[in-house]
Amino acid sequence: MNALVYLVSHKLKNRIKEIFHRPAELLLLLVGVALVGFVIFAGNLGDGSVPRDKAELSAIIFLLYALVFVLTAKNGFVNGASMFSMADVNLLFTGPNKSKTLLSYGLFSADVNLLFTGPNKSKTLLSYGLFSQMGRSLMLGLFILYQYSWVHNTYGVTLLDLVYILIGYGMTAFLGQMLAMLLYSFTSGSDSKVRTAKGVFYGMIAAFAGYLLLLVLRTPGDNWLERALVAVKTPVLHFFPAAGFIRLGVVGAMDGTTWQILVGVGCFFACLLVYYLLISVLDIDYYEDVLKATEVSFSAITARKEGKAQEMVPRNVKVGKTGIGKGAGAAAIAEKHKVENRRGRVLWLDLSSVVFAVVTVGFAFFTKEMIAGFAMSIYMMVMTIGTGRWAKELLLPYVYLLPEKSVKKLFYMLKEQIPALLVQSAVNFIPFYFIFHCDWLTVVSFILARACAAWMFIGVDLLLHRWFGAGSSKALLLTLYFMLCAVVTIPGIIVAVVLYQSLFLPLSFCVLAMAAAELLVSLLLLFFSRNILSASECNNT
Amino acid sequence: MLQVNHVTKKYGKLLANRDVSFEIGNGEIAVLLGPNGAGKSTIIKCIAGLLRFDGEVLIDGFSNKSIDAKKCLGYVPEMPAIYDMLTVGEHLEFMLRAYKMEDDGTADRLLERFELIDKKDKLGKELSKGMQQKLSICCALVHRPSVIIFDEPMVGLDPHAIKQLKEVFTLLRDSGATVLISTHMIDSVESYWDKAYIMKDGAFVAERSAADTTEQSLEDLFFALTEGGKDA
Repeated sequence: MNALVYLVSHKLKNRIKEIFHRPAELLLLLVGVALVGFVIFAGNLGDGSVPRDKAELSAIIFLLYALVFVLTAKNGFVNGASMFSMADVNLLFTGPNKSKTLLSYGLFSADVNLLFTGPNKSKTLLSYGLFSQMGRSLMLGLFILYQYSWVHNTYGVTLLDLVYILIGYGMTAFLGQMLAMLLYSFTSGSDSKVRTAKGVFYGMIAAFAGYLLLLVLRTPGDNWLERALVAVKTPVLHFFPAAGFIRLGVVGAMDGTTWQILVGVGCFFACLLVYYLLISVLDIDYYEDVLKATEVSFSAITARKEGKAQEMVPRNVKVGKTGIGKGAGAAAIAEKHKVENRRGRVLWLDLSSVVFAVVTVGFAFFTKEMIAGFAMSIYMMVMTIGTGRWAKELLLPYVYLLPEKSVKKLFYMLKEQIPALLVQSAVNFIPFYFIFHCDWLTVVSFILARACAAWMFIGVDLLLHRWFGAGSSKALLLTLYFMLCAVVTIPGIIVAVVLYQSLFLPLSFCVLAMAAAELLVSLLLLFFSRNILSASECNNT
Repeated sequence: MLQVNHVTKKYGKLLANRDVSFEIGNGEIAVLLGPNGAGKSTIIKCIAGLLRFDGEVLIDGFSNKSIDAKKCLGYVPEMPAIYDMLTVGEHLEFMLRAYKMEDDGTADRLLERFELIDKKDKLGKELSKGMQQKLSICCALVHRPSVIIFDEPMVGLDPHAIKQLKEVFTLLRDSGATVLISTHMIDSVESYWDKAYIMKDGAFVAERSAADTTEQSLEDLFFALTEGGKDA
């Protein structure tokens, strides 16, 4: 059997066996598959009418791809070498291998050791590497399948169409990774090159954005959505790297337009070839940077395996004023968080919150539904609520060891979240005032409802930690977390729907009632978690 | 004083600690020895109050989960526990504030001893692993605990730091503190222990006092028990 076929088949076989040996992972997989099935089933219950212009979907696809491409590619300015494993660096970099060849094969990640040293043809390896990386990129986009219900009922998207969108997503993420590698190769070890590359990179994005804005402003009409759609339809956007031509191909596949598919796929491979050739011709000595980036990546992987939260810290931290200065007892925890947040440039609004706010606003804008935007905002928050500083605190021993009552430590540990969640929610919903011309009470009700929902999800996370500790199966905890998050939102939804449908109260009152219900549930969850810092397990140290 | 009474810890079906009991008095250093997977770290974490268990742990007479016990306890984890975004000096300030203690100069003395004083304004994330371990030790000692437990404290330390740490152990003993050290580096603890406990498969298989007169060294006893398969 060919070595590569052996490797792929055995990796797959071992992965399947591993899943069956870990009931929690199997359960998570089954729940995931069942949810896809449920979403498809529920989506097909509609009357089959397609209420919205499919051009909107095309714009959404473009925005999604552009976001993924830009966010992935910009990593090239920071740690473009994270595709290497620690073993690669230690074994390959010290060996008699050409640096350019190694960088090219960096795409193959953990398999480099086995493949690179074996008697394999380079073309075969390249195919394998591309295949593996594409597979990883596709896995990242599986969340798209969960969107079937609303995209089917809103834009008439079929399951096959959704698969095309998923493949396009994988292709975009893949090109983003290739560009990250190219940017890293070009800028490695030179600050002036980093500045130049950043200038070109962000300059191109700004040029496209500026052109789009100009088109929107020039388009006549009062309806901003229609004006934006006209702008997004411009053929100029097809030239936007990856997102433009891949969107063209995906939309072509959905419509059955052969030339669009050919152009999209052709441009993808042309782009891939250009990136690859550029990486190959650049003469660079990048080992030192790679070693540093790989160590960071390795410690992050190790931390994940050990159940520790790894902090995303800026590369160059400005220490600034030193000293915590205030706080005694448990209050010192909150003061410490202020110092850490200042240095981590987090404050109350981090980058992911801004990105999610943009997605929420974009979603609400295109669907023309405030409730849809609100639901999207809550949906995304479920994934990210456990990334706050309080969650990292739970993974170090100090918060358990401090001689204070658990409930007091818990309060100060969570204190920073009170303003942060309100600010994050405000960024999500203040644009609603301008898009939907609703009253401020409605905006405030959405802000409060989102913030209270966040507290519910924090409560769920804490409760699971309280019950199971940090040493339990991550897959099991994740499954339970998603299930419990779904359950705790039910009371608020019921209250809001009953008030809206039966008593015909204004939307703002119904959402405020939902917020009140969420607050009650949150308090209940926090009450049950109050002893977390004296009675739960911290097994990460 | 540290008293561990009939502590049993299970992870699902796995019995990590089986009916472990021992006592370390004030001004005593006890070492906990055992091969990988013997249950040393688990019993250390049970004592630190980080794990749930059956049995009882008393720290200076208080239940280890009580606030009074936590005031008396210092714990050095196996992996350095460091905040990336705090400077070295801020780590110690945080500990002192959290324990509501005044700085009587202990913080700087510890930093000087472990050669971290010139790194006072360095961030946790900028330290090497060995330096992080030193800082972790300083954090555990700065609030002047009376019972200190060390989980593999010498891993990653340079010879100078190991020498300083051994001096710290002796100073702590001389000041009347209770010291428990979990390690698998037997030769590094031969010279100063008062009590030694050897663990295997989650339970104690031998204990020895420094006052015992026997020709068999601790190392020989350890290998006889862990490789020979017989209990002492």
